[in-house]
Amino acid sequence: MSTSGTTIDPSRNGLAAVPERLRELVQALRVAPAIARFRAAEERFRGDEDVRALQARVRACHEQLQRAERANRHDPRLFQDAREAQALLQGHPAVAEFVASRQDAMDLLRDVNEAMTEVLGVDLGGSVRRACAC
Amino acid sequence: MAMTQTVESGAAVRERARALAQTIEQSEAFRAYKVAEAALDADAALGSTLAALQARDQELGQSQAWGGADPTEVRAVQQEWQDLATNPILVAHAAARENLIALFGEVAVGITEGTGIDFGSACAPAGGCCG
Repeated sequence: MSTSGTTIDPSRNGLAAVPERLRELVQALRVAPAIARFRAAEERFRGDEDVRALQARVRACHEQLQRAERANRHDPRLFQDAREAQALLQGHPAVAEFVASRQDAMDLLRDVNEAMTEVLGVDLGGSVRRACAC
Repeated sequence: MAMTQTVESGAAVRERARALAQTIEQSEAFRAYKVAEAALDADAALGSTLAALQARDQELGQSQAWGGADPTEVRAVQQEWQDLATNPILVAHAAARENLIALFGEVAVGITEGTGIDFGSACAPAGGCCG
């Protein structure tokens, strides 16, 4: 049984309805404006040449700063360049939309977790989070 | 119009989330976990032993951070944890919890793949996943 590429074995979990209800939730999420907006913003963000160029510029600035640090060289101009590049990246409309839409989408997923936690009395998202590697 | 759509869509998503949770609630994995949890809660002696050992463990951790943990005490606490690890109530609880978290994990993967956003991270408190 597959849900968005995920395999849930009904015999192991005791109920075949879990994958079906999960599929319905995922479908409702996919058409939710917050998720649709995020996916569109993500596509624009990933495909934008200007954004990629700004990201490369930010990386180059950070590398220059690290090299200067290792060489014990303090150059205020490098800090200024890095700050400017970072500000340009954050101010780019595709980046700003990506960040804002991601926040809205994450808020919706938090709502999902709250609704499930209310029913189960167990924090589903929290249980999954504890298994993370960070 | 857009605001109405958003509210309706949010309500539909929450309704589906509750339906999924109600189905999980009826699953064998969730029921087994609740039974194991009730057995653990009912054993007051085991609860006291666990609480006392956790407190000693925490104290030892603080001592170790300062470089002053007593190796004999460290070994004693490790031995007590090992002895507890064979307690049938704890073994059953750990197994039931593992099964339930595996099911939760599969739900989280389904949501993550369907939305493009990591469900576990989205549910993390502000400041980071392990914050």
